[in-house]
Amino acid sequence: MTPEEQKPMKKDHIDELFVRLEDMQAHAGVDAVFGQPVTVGDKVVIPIASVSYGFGMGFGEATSQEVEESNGGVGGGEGGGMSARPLGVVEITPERIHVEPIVNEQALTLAGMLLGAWSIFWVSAAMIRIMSGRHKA
Amino acid sequence: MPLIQRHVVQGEPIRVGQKEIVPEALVTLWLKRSATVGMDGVWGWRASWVKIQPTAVIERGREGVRRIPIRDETKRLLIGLAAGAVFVFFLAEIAERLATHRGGQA
Repeated sequence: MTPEEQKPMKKDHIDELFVRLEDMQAHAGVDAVFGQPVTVGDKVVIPIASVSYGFGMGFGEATSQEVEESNGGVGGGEGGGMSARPLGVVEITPERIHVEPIVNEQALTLAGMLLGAWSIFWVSAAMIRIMSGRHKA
Repeated sequence: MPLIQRHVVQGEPIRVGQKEIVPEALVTLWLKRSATVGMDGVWGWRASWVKIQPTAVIERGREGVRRIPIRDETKRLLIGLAAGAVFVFFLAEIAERLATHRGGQA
């Protein structure tokens, strides 16, 4: 395949990606965050999560005569990422409907340790400055 | 078109026994695109980000309609810890200033 034939193909590929992304965004709905109901005994459980995703892409084509003559000058790239975090479960019993949250213990433990270290640092710094001020006085 | 769009969407009702549950979510969409036609060529880029967050389940039963909110407990606790960190910082600063002020008066 000659480079001249490759150019329209690359453009088509990028156009198709654009269309697919538009389609994905149009269909962003509750189905992505509410799972299928699961029956456990007399209880029905629906898992829930927070979902986020992003995409980025770029392309370029040089049209100067110099580049055209060298049979090059078309390029593009794309990338994306996705994250999903469980938030809890909806518990449905014959008596009531209840949302049971899921807490990320690992993140909270890490944040608690950081808060502890932060507190020790600032309290110690304040005490050292107070003590050194008294010694000077 | 605004840079950030936010809208609430509701899903298909889920029937469980006598009750009907309607899931509800908040969709946040950020979209940016650019295309340039220059003397040397044509280039463009596009970026988008979507966040879907469940906000509530709506219960429809014999008793009527009830909205049960869904809260992100981890986020709430992390915000609380961050607020605690700011509080500790200001507490240490105030304690130090008070002690220095009293020391100066003595």
